[in-house]
Amino acid sequence: MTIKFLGEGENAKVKRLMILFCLVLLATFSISFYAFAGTWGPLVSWSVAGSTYSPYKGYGQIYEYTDSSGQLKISTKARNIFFSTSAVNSIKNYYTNGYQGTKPLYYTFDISVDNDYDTTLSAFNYWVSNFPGAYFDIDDDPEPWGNGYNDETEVVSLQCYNINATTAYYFESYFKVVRKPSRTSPTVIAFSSQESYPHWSGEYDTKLYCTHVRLKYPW
Amino acid sequence: MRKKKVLLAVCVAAVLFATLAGLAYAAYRKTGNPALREYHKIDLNGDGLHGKKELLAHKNKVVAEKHRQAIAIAKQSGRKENLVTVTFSRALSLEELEQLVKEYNVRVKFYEARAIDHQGTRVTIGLAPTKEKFLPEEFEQMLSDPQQTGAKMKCVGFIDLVGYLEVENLPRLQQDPRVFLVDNSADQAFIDNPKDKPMPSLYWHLEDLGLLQGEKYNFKDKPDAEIMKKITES
Repeated sequence: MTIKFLGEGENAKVKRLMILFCLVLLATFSISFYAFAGTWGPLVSWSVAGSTYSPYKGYGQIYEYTDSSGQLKISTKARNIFFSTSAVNSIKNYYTNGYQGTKPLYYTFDISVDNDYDTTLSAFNYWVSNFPGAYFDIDDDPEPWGNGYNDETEVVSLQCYNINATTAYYFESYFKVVRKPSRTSPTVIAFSSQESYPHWSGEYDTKLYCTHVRLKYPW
Repeated sequence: MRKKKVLLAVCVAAVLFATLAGLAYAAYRKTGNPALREYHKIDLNGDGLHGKKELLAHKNKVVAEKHRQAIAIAKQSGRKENLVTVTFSRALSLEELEQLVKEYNVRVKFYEARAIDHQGTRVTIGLAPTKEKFLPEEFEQMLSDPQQTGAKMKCVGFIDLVGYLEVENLPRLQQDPRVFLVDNSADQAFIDNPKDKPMPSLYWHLEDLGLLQGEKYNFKDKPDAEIMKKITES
């Protein structure tokens, strides 16, 4: 029986291949880790409705991450949103009867930068929500033309008459971090409920609103 | 003397014109955006609910009027692209969606996926193509069930898109069996829509009314029996 050993040249080749394989593996792992190695900001909850049509509880939270191109982004998350039976009825009532002659009014959840002239964040077209008949919108305030940064994200529930008192609702939107603010001068993001109507300009405009929490970025 | 009369007549005409224009503008603002008003005919019938009859009437009206008008306008003014909301007739796979976008040369602004979460409710996920990829790298992360740590939602497929379509492709895309409606009625050719706000997708209505083609899937957030009765009978 003859035992075949790898020759000097072959051995080096195998070694090189092994090193290359390990490097590729490490690079792939690092990239995926890098892409989603985000950090969570504090969870800020509310437990008072604040208006007849608003959820009686829920929370807001910010997730910061860097994508594979190196772009810093945040995802603003409103979760565990619950409505009481009376809020569900109020939403139906606003939808059917409107308010001060404006109808229909649609329940809307809005996550927006407080300052219309902000230049640190700009929203883009990614979102997640389980509100019925979800119609999403991002906007650049102040009206009418804004300042080049999308500071508003909202989900209009076009079938708000199907909102119920047993489902946990959520809305998540995304912002590109154009310039990261300092901790001493953070960007403030408001999480609000609204009643909106179809405005003549083609967007859904606010008739009534109620802010639940304000979150700071960075926290 | 004659000059004065002419000047007076011009002034009176200018004032009249300005008044009429102002009144027309005020009436327009009062009644709202005509495209959305059309949509709200689906959304609000006599009971304050959308209905099957209104949905199909809207579809027929858009195809019969807006598509034809867009082609005529393109010939006259050279407006070659329209802002469109394309509602699919069933949930498409990613490959089907990419293929459709390529085939009809759609410049996609954003598109939406349907998922079902662990509560059984329908989830809408908005996405936009990046320079590198049609499906953004965040998609997997976005499928994480917000109400159940570590669990993933069930992705059913892609349900609609908003973008810009060459007018000459309107009839062909409308006839594609994967499409329910190419709605171009919010385009600037028809209405004053400076921020290009799109028409709402009709996919929720197709789901509620059982009008979807293709494989069935279950969800628990159906309208209640009373509402269902009204919308299917309207």
